[in-house]
Amino acid sequence: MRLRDPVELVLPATTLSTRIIGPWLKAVLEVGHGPELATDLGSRAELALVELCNNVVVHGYGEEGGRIGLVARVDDDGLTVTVVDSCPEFDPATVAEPEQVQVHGYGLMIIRKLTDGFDVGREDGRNRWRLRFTTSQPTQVGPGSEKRIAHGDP
Amino acid sequence: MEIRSTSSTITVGRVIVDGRLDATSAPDLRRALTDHVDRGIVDLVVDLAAVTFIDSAGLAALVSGMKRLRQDGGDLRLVRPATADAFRVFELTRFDRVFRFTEAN
Repeated sequence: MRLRDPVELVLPATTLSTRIIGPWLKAVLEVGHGPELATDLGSRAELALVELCNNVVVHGYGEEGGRIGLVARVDDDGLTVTVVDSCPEFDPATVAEPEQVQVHGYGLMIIRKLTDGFDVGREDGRNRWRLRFTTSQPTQVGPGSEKRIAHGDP
Repeated sequence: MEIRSTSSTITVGRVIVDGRLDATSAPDLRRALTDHVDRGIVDLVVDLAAVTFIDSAGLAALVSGMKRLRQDGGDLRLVRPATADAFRVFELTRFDRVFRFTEAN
């Protein structure tokens, strides 16, 4: 039996709590797709979502803390995850990719390379990120080239 | 994450890491690397063979250590993670071309 209803996860905004994302994704993909896709798709999605959530924790909420909501939807071609936070508005197009060897600043680069669609908008005072992962390997994109996920997509 | 450290000579050290190298555990690795450099280690091997996950925070700890050692005329070399998943962050950021890797024994 395949279960493809949206599955929700709410995390306290701490780096430690992002460790739940991997096992959660694996379970969502196993019941939605079967175990054969849970490994590669799940590990790609885990890294992208951990990067995003850690950015929210460190640069968004900071010491104030807060909550991060994730909703995963599995379909025939892959997985879409919506991430919602209550941090100040953030525009990833303003973040340049590192051009030389530096210690920090790789999170968004990693997200862009791992996703097949990466979209952020502002709704009801909250940032609403949508990350799309397909069963095929993603094409590589750079800053400001966030691919719009069609309105009405999950 | 568990970190074990050994020194084969006064200036050559080895740090063995397992488990997750992420934003929660990266500060522990950064401290371990700093301790080695402060003790005069100039050539350091970080064994990542048993690491299961690395994110950009874990990568940052390694890059920070590498930069400091190279400034001092040494280097930080890595034993390649055993899984493609754990190696992915190096490929995505192109640090697979910056670090010197050796295969696990």
